[in-house]
Amino acid sequence: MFCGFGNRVALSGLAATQIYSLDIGHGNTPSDMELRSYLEEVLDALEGPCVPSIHQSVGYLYPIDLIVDVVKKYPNVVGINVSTGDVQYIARLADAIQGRVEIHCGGPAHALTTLALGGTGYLSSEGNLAPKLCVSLIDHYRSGDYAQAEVAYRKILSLWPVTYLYGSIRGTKAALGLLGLPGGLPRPPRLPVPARALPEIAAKLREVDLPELRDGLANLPEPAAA
Amino acid sequence: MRLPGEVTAYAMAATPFHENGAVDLDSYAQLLDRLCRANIGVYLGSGGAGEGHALTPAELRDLYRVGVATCKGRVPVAANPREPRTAGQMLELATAAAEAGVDIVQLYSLDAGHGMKPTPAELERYYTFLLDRLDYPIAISVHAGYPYYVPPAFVASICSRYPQVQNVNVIMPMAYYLELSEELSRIGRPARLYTSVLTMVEGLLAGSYGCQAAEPNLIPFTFRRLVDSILTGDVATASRLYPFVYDVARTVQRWAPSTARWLKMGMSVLNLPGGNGGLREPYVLPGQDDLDEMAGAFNRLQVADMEAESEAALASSPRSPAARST
Repeated sequence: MFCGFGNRVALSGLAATQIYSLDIGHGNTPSDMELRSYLEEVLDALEGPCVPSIHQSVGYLYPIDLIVDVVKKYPNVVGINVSTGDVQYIARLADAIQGRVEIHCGGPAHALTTLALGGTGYLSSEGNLAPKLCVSLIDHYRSGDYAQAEVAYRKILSLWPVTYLYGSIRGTKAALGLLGLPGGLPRPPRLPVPARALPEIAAKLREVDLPELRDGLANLPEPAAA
Repeated sequence: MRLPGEVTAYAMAATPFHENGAVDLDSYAQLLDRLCRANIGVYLGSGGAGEGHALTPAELRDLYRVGVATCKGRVPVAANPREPRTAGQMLELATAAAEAGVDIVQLYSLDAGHGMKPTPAELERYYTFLLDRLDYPIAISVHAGYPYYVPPAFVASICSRYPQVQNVNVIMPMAYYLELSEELSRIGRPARLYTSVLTMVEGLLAGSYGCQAAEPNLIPFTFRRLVDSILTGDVATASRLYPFVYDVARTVQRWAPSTARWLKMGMSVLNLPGGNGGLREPYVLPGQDDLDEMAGAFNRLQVADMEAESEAALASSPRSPAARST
């Protein structure tokens, strides 16, 4: 089923299909043999550019030698996305990949570290809210303006009370709604953030004061008087 | 402690496959019949041992149908639909199980994917959505394998509001069990609590109504005999069987997680019905060297001999499992 969907993605003209790690359910973990079987079955079937994802949410990280093998074997593997707080894993992965394909880390927290290790960039749900800010981090870093890259990095992390505090995409969708931007409500089982949290999110958006959000900021409800 | 007649040791039943990958319903019925003869209750199509995540809804319906036909009236027969991404997915399978006539349907915790941790409001919505729609005997599962905590007070609250919740399966440390038990007592809401195999003995001592385990698929007679020996105060037998059962459990853990992997290896090694069909992807059956290693360990533990002895012992006991034969 996934392979068929993946090939439709390739035909749609998107840059690549990300292949999430296998989640076999019930909190179980695939063996190394099962991981190799899964990745090879999918990559044998997909025709377009692919990006395997290594994500801590499934409870394991791929063996690095397996990733190296698939990068060598499958020319349509154009990148690796790695979402883990284990910086040593990212470092070992970057060493092993040796620049053959792009590496993006999951979330902005390790963005600068990943870039310093030879990676390409980062994945970010913050991009839904502040796309220009998110891109600016990469642009400043690539141009050698590390001071401005650090400023952008701090700004992105300062959005944490909006984007991460409520978990998943809940806070981001609430912020988009407050700013009058498209996004809508989460679909169950996720529920919108409680109404009482909206003033806190609005206050944080005002405090961060991103130029790209100023039109929406002007529409935010005024904070209640003390 | 409870009386033996009050206690159910449940097997999370394995799902056998033909060598072509199709579900082998004949072998399934044979496996279930063996569990019935050992007085082991069954959970059908589970997400772990039953490879429920790899089964289609139609296949799960087949398992429920065969399970009810084979087990109902002999041992408690339950369904535990796999963990759902949404409440609607659970509702579909739970309804199918109820329509098939199982005695009770277990509701697993929500697993919305990508490590999502439900907020208290989302957890409340998940359970109320289901329990407002399922007027059927229900078991709630609280499982340590999820990346979030379901507070005992919340489970007790659900029990207090929904009388159809009869069982709570506490696959958690004993501290959780005791806290939940206390919460239920505090609000005066009785419910039957079950534990995992890891806390089975402690649970029985604390008044549980039994446990859920995968091991009975391989050693049903010995497992039930251990439970009975604990409940009847037969310390000599319990002291002999306890290390045996846990040695078997320790041996197979070499191939865990997942449960399904070692279970299918064990079924093959012990030549049980469906043992030749292997696992459904994404699982891959370990190679012959691993099977030989497990066979060697089972031989050293004298698993087959112990099962034969336990089957004979149960047959001659006052609660003869022979009475449960088809």
